[in-house]
Amino acid sequence: MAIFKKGNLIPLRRSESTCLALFLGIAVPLLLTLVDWPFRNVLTPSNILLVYLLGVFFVAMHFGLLPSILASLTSAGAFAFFFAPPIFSFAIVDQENLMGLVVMLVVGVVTSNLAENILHHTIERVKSIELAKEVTLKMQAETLRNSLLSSISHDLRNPLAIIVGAASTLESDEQCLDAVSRRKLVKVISEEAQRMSDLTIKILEMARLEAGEVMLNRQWFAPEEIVGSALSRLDKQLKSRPVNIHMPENLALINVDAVLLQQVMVNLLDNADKYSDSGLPIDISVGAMSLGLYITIADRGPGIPAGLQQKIFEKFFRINEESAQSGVGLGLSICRAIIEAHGGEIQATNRSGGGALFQIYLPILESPPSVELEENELLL
Amino acid sequence: MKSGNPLLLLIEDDPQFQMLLNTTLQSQGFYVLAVGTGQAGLIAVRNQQPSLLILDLGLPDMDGQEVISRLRKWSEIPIIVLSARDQETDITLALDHGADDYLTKPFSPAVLISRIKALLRRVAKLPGGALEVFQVGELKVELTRRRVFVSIKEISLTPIEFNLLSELVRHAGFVVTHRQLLEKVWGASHVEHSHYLRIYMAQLRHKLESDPARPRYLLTEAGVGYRLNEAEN
Repeated sequence: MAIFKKGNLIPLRRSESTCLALFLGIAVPLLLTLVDWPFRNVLTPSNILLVYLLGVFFVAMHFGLLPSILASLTSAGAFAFFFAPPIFSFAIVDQENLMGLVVMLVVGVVTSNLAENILHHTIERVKSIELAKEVTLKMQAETLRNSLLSSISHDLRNPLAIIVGAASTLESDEQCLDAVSRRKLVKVISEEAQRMSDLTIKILEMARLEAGEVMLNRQWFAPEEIVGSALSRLDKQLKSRPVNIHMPENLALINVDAVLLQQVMVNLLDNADKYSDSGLPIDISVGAMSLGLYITIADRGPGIPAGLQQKIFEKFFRINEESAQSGVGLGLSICRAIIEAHGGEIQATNRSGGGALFQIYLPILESPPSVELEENELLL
Repeated sequence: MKSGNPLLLLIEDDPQFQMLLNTTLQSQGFYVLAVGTGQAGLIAVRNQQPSLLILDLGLPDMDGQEVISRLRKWSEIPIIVLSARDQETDITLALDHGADDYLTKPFSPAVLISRIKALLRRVAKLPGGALEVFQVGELKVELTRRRVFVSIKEISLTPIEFNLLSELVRHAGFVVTHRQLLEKVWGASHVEHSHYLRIYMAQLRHKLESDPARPRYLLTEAGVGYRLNEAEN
């Protein structure tokens, strides 16, 4: 696609710019003539020739061979007519001036060739830089694919092996298993399938965000509702956990994709829940700041190891690879991708007193549309 | 009322999924008729008169949305839609076309069963006339007298707040889309003005919920609509 586009664009541009260049080849010497004319009695003809030479040099540098020859000839004509005695005649009597004109023509040709060469080299260099970039990108994609594969094979194969194993044991059972072991096997299948389902959803979501096919469905939402819907999605999980919410009343509506933002909140709350003991509180605060909204989610878990505050947002990064509670290492990358798609920022720090603190900043780009409120009559 | 156990129609093209739902639903005492195409489903609704339809939106022969709109021309059968998780627009469209509820895959069979039972209960109630008093937890709504209480305290609502609440009460337990609420409460010209809905929903929550950021009654279904909790868990 890109190549075809280039093919179409360049000839068009080139023909346009050629016309302009030829025009300038004539215009520059004429302009210089105008500039020189008032000084004709002060400057010697060779001084004036030097000024013309400068013009030819300029045209040759920037516009190539043909315009530079044109500039030389125009300069020659103008010089002969206006400055070289006899004035107002193309005749030139002075040998020196004639010589100067020839030199000017040569300089024009040589300079334009030189300039062409430089341009050529530059293009080559740009091309090779682009090539290098492409190779780097390919290599990055390759590494990504490898880490994706190794991650998937570890995270999906394990539960799959358990499911297949447990299911086939149940399938081939000829009444040898007692009720308790059967129930255990069924429970294992259900739990592992749930885990696989969660991971698959995360991988698909990341793939969708990465592919850039996600268009934000921005609508006006109350910040309170986004927090609330995330909390109710995790209702069961957070049942016995204290959750403190600090949020001023009457926060203005914000223009965001609520489904994606809810996902960010769910991922962060789920992390906070996973990494801290169930009796310890999760603190959520939401508030307005200059030209934006902030949301913070904080836990009282072990916090983030020093130096990893940036790294935890990278795809497939896990603080503890082998830990059973850790997922595929995509939750926080998904958060970052979503927040950045909104033009916002997300950061992780450790709080004083222990625990991790995630801060989200969302810019507010426009104020919410007005609402005609009903007349202030109450039912009663 | 039909005698005996209700017949459920399942339109789903994946045979394994058919088998799973069949087994699960039969274990709950439902009769299940399963078909794999939209065309067969439409015929089955006409000929077998099932009590409820479970419809997968992705079908081989026609769009699930079309099944819903065609059915709604002549049938009031309750419809539960099954869809993938990231397809809020499809879900919203299905609900606006006349589906009654939805579940996203993967879902727990227990949730499906409770949704089916809730829908069947609602259908059974309907002929007895409109609901007069709705109650869940500490919230009580008297529809004709237009009065609202939280425990014993009467709450003053503006006319719009009350209309919004009563629309949710009429569909208690089921999701109502943004569009449906905007159209019913503000009128057809306001269906695109979703910010009205957000503002009034926030006001309602501040009046009715003890913690508006963790609502017990007025639940958000992100990207789809709102659901008034029918039974407190």
